[in-house]
Amino acid sequence: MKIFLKVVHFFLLLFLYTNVFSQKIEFKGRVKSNTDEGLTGALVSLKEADKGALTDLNGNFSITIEKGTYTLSVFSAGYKDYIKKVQLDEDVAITIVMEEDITELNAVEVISERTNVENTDIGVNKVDLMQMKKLPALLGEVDVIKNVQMMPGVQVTGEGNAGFYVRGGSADQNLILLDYAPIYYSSHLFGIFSVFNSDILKSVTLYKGGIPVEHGGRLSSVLDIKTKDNRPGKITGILTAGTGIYKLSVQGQLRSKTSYMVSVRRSIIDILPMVLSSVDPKQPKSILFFHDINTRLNHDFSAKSKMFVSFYNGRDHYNINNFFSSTYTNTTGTLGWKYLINERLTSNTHFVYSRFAYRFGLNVGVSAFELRNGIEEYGIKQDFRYNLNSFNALNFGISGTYRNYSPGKFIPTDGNSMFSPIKLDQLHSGDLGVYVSNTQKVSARIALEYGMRFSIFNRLGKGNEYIYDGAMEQANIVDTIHYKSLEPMKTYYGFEPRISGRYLLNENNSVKLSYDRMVQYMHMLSNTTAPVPQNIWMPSATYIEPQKSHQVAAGYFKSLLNNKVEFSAETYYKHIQNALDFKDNAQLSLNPAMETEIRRGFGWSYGIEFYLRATTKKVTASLSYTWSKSQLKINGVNNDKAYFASYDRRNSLNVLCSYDLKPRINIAGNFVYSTGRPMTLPAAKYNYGYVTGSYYHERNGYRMPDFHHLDLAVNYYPKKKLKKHTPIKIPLEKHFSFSIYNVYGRRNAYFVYTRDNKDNPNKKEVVMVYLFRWLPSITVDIKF
Amino acid sequence: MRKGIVYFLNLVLLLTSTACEKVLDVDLNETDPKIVIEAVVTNTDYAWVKLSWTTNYYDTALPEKINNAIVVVSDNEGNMDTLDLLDKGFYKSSRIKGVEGRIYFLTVQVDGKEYKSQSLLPGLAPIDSLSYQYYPGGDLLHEEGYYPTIYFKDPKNSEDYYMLVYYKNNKLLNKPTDLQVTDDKNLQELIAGYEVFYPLQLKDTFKLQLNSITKEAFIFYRDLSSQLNNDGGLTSSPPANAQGNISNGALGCFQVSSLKMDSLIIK
Repeated sequence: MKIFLKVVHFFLLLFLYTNVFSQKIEFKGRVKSNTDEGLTGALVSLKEADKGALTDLNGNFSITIEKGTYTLSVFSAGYKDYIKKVQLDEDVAITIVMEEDITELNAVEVISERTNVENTDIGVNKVDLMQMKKLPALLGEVDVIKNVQMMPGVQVTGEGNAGFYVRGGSADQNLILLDYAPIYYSSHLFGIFSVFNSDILKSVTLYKGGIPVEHGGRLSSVLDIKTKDNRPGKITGILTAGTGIYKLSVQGQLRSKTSYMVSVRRSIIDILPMVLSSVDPKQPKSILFFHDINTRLNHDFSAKSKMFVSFYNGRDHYNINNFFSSTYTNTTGTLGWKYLINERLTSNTHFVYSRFAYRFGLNVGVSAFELRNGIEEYGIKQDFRYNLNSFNALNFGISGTYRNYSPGKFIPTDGNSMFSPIKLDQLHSGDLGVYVSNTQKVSARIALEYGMRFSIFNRLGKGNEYIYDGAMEQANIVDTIHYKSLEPMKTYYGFEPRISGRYLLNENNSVKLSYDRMVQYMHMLSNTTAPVPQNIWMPSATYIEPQKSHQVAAGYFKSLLNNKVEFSAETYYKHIQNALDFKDNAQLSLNPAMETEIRRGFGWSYGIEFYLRATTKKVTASLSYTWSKSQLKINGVNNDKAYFASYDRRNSLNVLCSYDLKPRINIAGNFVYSTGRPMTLPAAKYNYGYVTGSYYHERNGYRMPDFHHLDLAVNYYPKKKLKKHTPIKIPLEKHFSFSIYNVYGRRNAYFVYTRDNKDNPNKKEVVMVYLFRWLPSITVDIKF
Repeated sequence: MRKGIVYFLNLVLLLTSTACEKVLDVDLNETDPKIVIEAVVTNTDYAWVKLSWTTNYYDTALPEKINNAIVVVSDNEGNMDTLDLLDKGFYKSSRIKGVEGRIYFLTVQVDGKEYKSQSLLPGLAPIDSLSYQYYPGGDLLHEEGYYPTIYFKDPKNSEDYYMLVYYKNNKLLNKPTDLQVTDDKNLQELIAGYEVFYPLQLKDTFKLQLNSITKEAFIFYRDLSSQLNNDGGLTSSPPANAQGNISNGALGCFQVSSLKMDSLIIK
């Protein structure tokens, strides 16, 4: 309590402090599109004073400044620059209407960058969606997760895998949101592509630290992905044909206040087996594809009241000759309503739904079966933004979630089956989060963002809880407690304070600090090399305590040459309580006492991340380098000794570069390097019966070879042509991209295993499997 | 089932890329040799034990056998025998044969260290019959041939564990994938036609040895099998030691089992 009073006292002092110094005038306003939609993240700056601000979610901004005449400029991606002289003599509020930039080019280079020094963001990276489209891509499909993987502080599993690991956190510690709805398995084709269609994205932001209090439930990061919501006025769209994937997205307006977006994407990798089986009936008949459907509907009831509905369905379906089948589906839906209660207070309401389901089938006589698992989530979030005054902007709200977990069903599919079915009980949980934070300009140099999230988690019935004799790990079940439907089985609480602050050294340099406390109540039980769709999500319960983390981070941010060059260095230390791993040979499939396979302990990670970005008229280049170390110490794993997490990589370097060679030709490349990931190899072998067993004496004691590749792309933009004979006269904007993945043909280890030498069975060898060398691709997209 | 998943994933990878292999030169750590005990008590033969040392992973020489051990097998009925060294590292009893329901004790003494284990000999699993089915081939899983099918009954009132050992023309099938164990957690009482994935031809003999094993032995063989079939791929878990049931850090297993044989000739 004493500490609580002290904290309150401290905040009160801060408020007073700011009011004493507020003798300048306040210049505030709203930046909106010509369809009256508030533009988020637009950079509003007053040139002579070298001051600026970013607009909030509703397009509002506020700048405190001395009286005078200034050049006001506003930049926002996809809109034409707005530049105007303004005379500021007293507190004033203005509205700026931005005109859409149809060409959607070039202007973006300037956005939001000075803010890197000025805002309180630390540990936040945004994907440059414009530059991303120029970069070489695997099989020609631009993938936003691949770009996230190139950010400082982010590690990958391996080649062609869409999982990612942030600052020493496991893959399930990332909250991936698509229009506010969580995505539980974000990959297609077992990881080769992510489920996000890059053509329809508005913004992609990764929070590695300084995580806003409105988000909770995962320890290591929030990847906030939003789809396009602009109101184009006429039908626009983009058609893309690539080496592996075709996609089409269309945006348009139904009436003046209603707009829509529809997008479809489908892989075409199944053409090869289809052709093979039609030519040669002996070839297996295979179905092998994935698809994504995204739709979004925006409707404005009035200038103050707006809503949107967003829906996503993505499915992977593989079926080979009816012998094997593997299907997994993500479905999400969001209903969002934004209401401006008054000039200062905005309400945001979101209803979300998300479902992931996996099925695996094997059809062989009496042993035929189908295996299923999945998860389903219903959520509601009520969020408020309140601009108290020009120095304090409050954000507060409440969120609730209800989840159903299906940890596994085994269904025999043959009439004469040798198996009996196994149906693990569905599990249920409900949680509630209440949060409040304040973004405060304390002085010209100091800005703070501080807040608290309080979370309550309930594991709910209907369900059974086992009582164990002695240590749970021994798995001696002596009794079972039954709980009725919705009856609380176990409750956990979490206090999650978050704070970040910026101190401006001078106009081009700042230092920032942050502290994050996070709590995670649901866990993906994965002891596989990479996240795979058969991994099961489980809620916390009596024997699975929530994972918790502390993270402190410090950063230095610099802007050079009128912000053409931007540099940052961040360092962090993260400590994880109740980190999960699994006992040797854990049985995580169809196990009713799953908790007995789990082992718990600590995890910790630290590192330093550098980021450099340079932009000129013709060149955009960025470089990120990360040095980090991630370890775990888990009772019952690796003889209780500390070991490297399987995603620990000492060094990683990512270089991206794009150069406009000629007005219509661009060349781009990226280079990726990282230390090989840890692996477990045997120390000795022994003969037993007719086989040779291996003896392992430590977990993750070896490393795979270093991972690196260089990719290049050439982009060609032919002249726009006006199609005369179509009913709608629209200019077609074409873009051809030719790229080569892994230009110098590096054999990168995909995975490593041990085996007998083919010629001498007494000789053992370590073998690596590699996937892609020199993978060329071609992609054409047509904007209309 | 595992084999199916691996096969399936490989096929997917094959269609989407060109997976290739390369032998890596990894400098592996070495450890002090550990004792390896393979001890078997069954209802059909006198108890026997094989002893050897582990070798460094890259060694091509055969493992060193242990010839100076004192190996004792006894049961809870007061029978006890010190096994005779019959061959290099191979010890055999001349008196003790497994009897259902008895508890067996193993003691191995080597260089002043003692390794112990004990197990109850589980009940017998009755094989009902063997049959076979002809497949013309061309369906991905079957090449042309006759595939043996097994009919047996799993008693529902007990927890049972089985090991299946196959012989073709009196030759033990001995690939790593031939090491097959199962529990009965989701087996039906009547297993009517479990298919063995070995194509046989006319006049081939097929012999099945069905072992009822203990839970500890099942865990050891299951772990050993997953270790042998671990391909390091995306769905693989970290490779780990097979957990045995012998004290003092010995590798291996004291397998106390009852077994039954049945055979058929393809006609």
